[in-house]
Amino acid sequence: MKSSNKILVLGLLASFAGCSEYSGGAYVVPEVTFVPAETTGAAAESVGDVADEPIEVASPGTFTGKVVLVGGGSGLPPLIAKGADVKDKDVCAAVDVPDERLVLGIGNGVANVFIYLAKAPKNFKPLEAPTDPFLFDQKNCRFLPHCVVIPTGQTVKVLSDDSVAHNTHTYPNKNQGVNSGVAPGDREGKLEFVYRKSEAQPLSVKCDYHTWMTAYHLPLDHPFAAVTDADGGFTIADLPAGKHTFTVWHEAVDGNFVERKLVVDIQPGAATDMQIELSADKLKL
Amino acid sequence: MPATDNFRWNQKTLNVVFAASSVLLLASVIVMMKQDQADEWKVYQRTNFKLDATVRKADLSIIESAEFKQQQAALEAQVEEAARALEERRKTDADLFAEQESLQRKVDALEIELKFKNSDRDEARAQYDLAVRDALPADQFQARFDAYRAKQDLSDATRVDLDAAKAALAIKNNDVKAITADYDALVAEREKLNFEAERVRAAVEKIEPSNLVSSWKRAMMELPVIDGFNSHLRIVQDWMPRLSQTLGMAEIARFDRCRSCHQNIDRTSGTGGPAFPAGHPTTANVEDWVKEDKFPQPYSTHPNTALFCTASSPHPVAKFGCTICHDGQGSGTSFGNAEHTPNDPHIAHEWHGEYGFHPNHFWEYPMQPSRFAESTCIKCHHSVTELGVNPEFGASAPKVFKGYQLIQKYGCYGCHEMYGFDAGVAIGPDMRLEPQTEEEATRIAADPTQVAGKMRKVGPSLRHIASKTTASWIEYWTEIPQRFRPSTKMPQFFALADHLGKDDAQHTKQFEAAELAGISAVLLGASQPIDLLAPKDGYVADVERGKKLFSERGCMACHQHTAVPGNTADFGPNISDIHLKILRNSDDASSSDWLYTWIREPERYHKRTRMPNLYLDAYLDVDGTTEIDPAADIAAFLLNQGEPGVYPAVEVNDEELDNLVSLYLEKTRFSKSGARGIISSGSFPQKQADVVGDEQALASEDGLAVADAAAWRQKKLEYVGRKTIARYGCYACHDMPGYELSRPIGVALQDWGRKDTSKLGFEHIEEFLHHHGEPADSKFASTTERVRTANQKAEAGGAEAGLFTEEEEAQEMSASFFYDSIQRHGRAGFAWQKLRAPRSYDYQKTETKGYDERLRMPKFPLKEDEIEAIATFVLGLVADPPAEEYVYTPDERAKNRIEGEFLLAKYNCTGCHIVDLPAITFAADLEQITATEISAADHENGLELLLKMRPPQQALTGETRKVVIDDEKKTLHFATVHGLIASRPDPEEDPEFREHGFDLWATADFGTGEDMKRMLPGSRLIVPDAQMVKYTEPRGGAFAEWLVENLMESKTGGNRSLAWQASPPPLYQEGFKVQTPWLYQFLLEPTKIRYTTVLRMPRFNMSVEEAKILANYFAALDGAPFPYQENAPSNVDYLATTEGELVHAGLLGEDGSYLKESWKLLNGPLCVKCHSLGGRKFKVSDPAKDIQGPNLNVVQNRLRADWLKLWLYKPTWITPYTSMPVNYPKNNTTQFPDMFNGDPDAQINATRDALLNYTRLMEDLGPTSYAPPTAPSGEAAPPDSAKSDNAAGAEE
Repeated sequence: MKSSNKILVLGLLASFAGCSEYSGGAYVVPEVTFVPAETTGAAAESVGDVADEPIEVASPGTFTGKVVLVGGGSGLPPLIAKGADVKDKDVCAAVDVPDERLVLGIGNGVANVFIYLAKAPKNFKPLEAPTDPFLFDQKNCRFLPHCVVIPTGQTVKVLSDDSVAHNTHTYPNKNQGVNSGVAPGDREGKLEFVYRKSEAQPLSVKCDYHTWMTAYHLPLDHPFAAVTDADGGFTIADLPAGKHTFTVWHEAVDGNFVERKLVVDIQPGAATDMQIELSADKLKL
Repeated sequence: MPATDNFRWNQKTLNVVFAASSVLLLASVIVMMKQDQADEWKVYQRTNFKLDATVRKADLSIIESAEFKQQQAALEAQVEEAARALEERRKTDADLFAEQESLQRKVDALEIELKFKNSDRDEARAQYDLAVRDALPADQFQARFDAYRAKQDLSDATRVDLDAAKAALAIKNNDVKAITADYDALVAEREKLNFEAERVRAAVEKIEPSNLVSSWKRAMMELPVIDGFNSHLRIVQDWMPRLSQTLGMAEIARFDRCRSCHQNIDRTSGTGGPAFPAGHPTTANVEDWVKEDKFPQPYSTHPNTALFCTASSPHPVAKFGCTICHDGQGSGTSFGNAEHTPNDPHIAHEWHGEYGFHPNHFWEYPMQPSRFAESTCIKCHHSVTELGVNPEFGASAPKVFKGYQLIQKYGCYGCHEMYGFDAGVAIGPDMRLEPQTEEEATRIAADPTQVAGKMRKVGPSLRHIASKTTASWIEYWTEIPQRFRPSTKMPQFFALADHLGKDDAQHTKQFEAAELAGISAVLLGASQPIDLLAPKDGYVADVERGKKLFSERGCMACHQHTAVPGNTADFGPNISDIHLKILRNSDDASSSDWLYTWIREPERYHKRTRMPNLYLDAYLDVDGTTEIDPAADIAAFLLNQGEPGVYPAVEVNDEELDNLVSLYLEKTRFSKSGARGIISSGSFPQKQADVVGDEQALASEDGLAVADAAAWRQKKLEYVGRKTIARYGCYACHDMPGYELSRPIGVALQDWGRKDTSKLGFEHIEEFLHHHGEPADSKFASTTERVRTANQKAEAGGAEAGLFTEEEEAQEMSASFFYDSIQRHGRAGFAWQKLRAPRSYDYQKTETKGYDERLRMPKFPLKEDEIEAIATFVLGLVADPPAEEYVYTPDERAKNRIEGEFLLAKYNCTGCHIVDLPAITFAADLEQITATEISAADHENGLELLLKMRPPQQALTGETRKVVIDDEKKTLHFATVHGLIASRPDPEEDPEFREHGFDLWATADFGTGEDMKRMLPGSRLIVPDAQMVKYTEPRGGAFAEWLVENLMESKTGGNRSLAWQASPPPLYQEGFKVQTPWLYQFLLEPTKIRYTTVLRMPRFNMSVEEAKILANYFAALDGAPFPYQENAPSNVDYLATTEGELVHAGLLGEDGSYLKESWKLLNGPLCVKCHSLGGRKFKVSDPAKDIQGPNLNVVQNRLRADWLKLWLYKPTWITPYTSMPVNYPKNNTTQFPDMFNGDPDAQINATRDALLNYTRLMEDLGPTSYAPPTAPSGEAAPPDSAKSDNAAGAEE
């Protein structure tokens, strides 16, 4: 049983690696289906001759909750106030550009927190890369979105809604970095790239022309990740039941980890709700 | 017959005696001949023949594998089959074969006939020629001509017949060939298959004949007398008439017969490595040697065939012989005669047993023991540097290079001159001090036969020392420098009393106290005033900021400080203790104007200092109002480390002071009573102005007695101080007022390697070592005991028997070697002990010599391995260069490389800059290696340029490692790539997931052919920790690397790329990058280039000559043109051609001006985002975070055209960490659609050309602004182009 699992996983890996040989444009995505755990825990036991008849998951769980700031603190004033004397101010200071290092919502919920499994669960088949490109936009010298999880293998197209030139400079750890100009008003996305590997932490994306512009990308080869919404809420669905170790990451936290190893026991067919507290004194602003 | 009157002896007895003696004589002649025949070299040659045969047989067995034999048998069968078939055909086609034969016969016959006819014709022609000569009558003349014609016709007719027959034969031959083709092909194939085996078999057969006749013949050839006729046993001799040697007084040609025994010395294997690798096989059986692939002496190949012996190496044995490097007696053909030298006494002992070895005093140049093998390199390699740093061969002589570096570090040449020249001819390494005065420099420069020295004094200047420190510190320091600073390189002159008796030591101490006080009196008395700088009035220094600036502004490239740990720089002193010694301001003990001045403008204090000017000028903080004076902050940080040190002044016994003064006066010209008189009266008998020499210190200006006792005492101290300084030669290392022209006090060393050993003063050194010689914490009471113990351990099996560690064994047997050398009065031993304990040669000599005659050499803080390296160097100084063609004379490029390398070390360029990239060796799973993707945005032209500049290097080393991953066997291939660390393994991660990230800087190919995967510079390589094999640190740049780690924490939030941008850049391929004349100028006066760095390139005390060499160095290293390079893009023809091409391609309007369009493009809203350009300043948004690029007005003089173009194509191909983006991606034609028809390739070229014509364009066209037309699509297009234009204009 065990060795057949390995063969399967290797096979999947190989086919996935195979598709990574293509760059840009059409992707050949192997016809494979995710086979989650049969019941709780022993995921390894659940994968049989799955290539032909995938075994349906009994009941995956959901991890949901909210990240809140405790111990005081408030949102930040705009990073660039409207009309400020900065580079390309006609565009960059046309509106108030928010300081997104710390965005608080209702009930001091913290937006833009990454919550993710650092590694895919055992025997999890690599994610099928979406064929549609992910559109990464910028407007008024601000990246949109500020924080995002991007599946490995998905093409990222960089757009610009600004009438000034930008450049997009990524600082990944394991992937190939990109640093290329984006022409004014490029709605087509001439600049495109792909993250081939999962990263252990979100990577920063910057514009060297406008150094205040920052975004964070987290390339992952599995779907078990979320970025908190404006009010700090998050939901990660379809988790195989059992214990999982999540990483909770925020850009403004000293050392970046809100929780480096947050162990959560996911109940089958149920939602595990959790409030994650971020202490204000851990912030480095 | 009895004895009679006629016969004195009994004849019969005599007959017997004669018979017996002749038999004896014959026997002894035979014995003599036999012994004469049994030369050692013959034994070796016989063994070597056996070895050769064995190797060849082994080769043969490999060639004739089972598979081979199978193939051979199959082929043989096929041949037989074909032969049978052919035989059949011969029968069936008998007619054809018969015809062919008959035709062949006919052709043969006709050929003979033609020859006869031709000779008849020739005879007739000769007759005709004679007729011409003899002017025969016309009828005879005609007759002879007719005769000739007739013969010629006959010949022609035969030739026609022959041609016809040949043609017919050719047709038949073809027919026959068609029938025999199969058979012929098979026979050819068989021959081909057997060829290599046959060749090897023939070689074996030659050495070990299988038939009796040949064996007998071979044996006969070894017999006496016969062996003189081309025997296989023979002396091998290399004759080097121009590489003469000195024997006694005569210069004679060099004959080296070493290869008579060392027969395989230059034999390489098919792959180029040694054919017979040296080693110690377990048995004496040649078969085992071959099996183990280890060969003992003298059968082994030279260990470094790339460099020595082989014909393709730089030192082929036929040209250089052996003894030019190894010394020894080249004409010797036995172990003893060759003058082999053992590496230590234990080996000598073994050799004694094995070869009857004993040292021979009568040969002047015995072979170098292996520990000094590198000594002789410097006979020809006078620049030495190429022996330590060499792009082709690596460090080929690391030990002698280390000795050279140590001599530079400790400045031995200050006292011991090492002339590199004799009457303008190079005789060895030149390590003289540079001229000390302007006059001296001018005089040497004017004399074409003189070459100026280039070494700086290694110590700090003492010219203005009164502004720097106190008398008590000077005394405390000078007495035992290491007591204050353990890492100092200043040697110890005082308190060296191990060799003195108790009373003598006590007395010496008293004298030394007076000398120390004297030195400080002289130094402070002669110290010249200096205008010190001071921070602005009221400036409040910030200690914390000082610490930050200290670590960021470059101080730590040379210095260490315990308050900022982590670096290991030792070019400058460890200054953790500087607050203790520095004189502080009298009004404010927290500051020191001296320290401020020194940090801010070092050359103000010392003109020739190694400390560069770091441009620590005051500047405004990012808030735009606070002024920061970095030198003041750094000084405050350094002084803030503690209170000033308190050092008691040495106590001088007045009586002993007087004794010392008296001693020196008596040595001058005074009697004892005269000297005493001067001392007691306080009156020197002359006016100061009339006195020559150190006695000036005692004389008063007016010649009268010095009434004040304290003043007289001071005078006496100064007198003793001056005597001491002169005696110890302090000015050898320090710039001191009044000592500019003083001569070195030591023995010149340029020919010390040949110094007559009878002139070395060994004195009582053996006695000393018998009782002393080891440091107090040693477990041995004396060196003799130490060496005896070492020898005993070596006898008992040494490291192999576990009695030593390997390291200990090497160290202890070294000591044993040198000790042995001392006993034999050798130079090596003398130098060893001289550096270990220089004064020990005064052991029990001080009693019989004057105090001022004692040995003066100080004790340097050297370890024993360092001493050995220095000895290796000094023993190589022989001032005896071989003939000119043998002295290494590099070509222009290599010369610049070598001299530049010397300067890199001299100015510690490598402290900040990486010059050789790190090498990363890992076990690569080739399936996991991903070739760099070429995207739609990459330019093919750029790629081509990249591969030209950084040609691919094969990453796979050929080594493999077999591993099992998940029960699957895999072969991992070792690969080596060059690049910088991009990320380190996360220690929090599980070990199996820990990974290293690297950014490649050089192009790496994995594999060859279709399977090859190419990684381009700028690619990220991820290596799992378990697969890392070796990380070789870069050469240079330790400070940059340290700073990067530091800045990642303090400044860039963990971003390594930004941290690198703030640090000194690696100088990889700098030669391709910058224009040599610019670099020259920059080195002399470094201007600010980068805005992202936290520090600036400092200004060194570099001469114009040095700047020139260093500028050329980088180009020479990369193979780029130097010293001048053409700047094609500014060439009128180029511009006209380019314009024409662009118009033709439709990228430029008929009436368009290329340069004008280019200038417009350059001034568009792109470059100006990060660079000041065309009169517009960089727009500051956030001074702390902005990324401002270098000003573009310097590009035209700074950068080379090709490099610049590649940079514009894709900056990360050149510098992976840069912030400069790809501004003109190939797939983006919409950025400036109206410029060059939107073609990004043309835009790159235009940008490059505008930059390289910058001044011209600025002059001709002036500030320009250009806004591209509205973006073609999108909701957020700029309101209108006019607005954009305004926006650009507003920035002007």
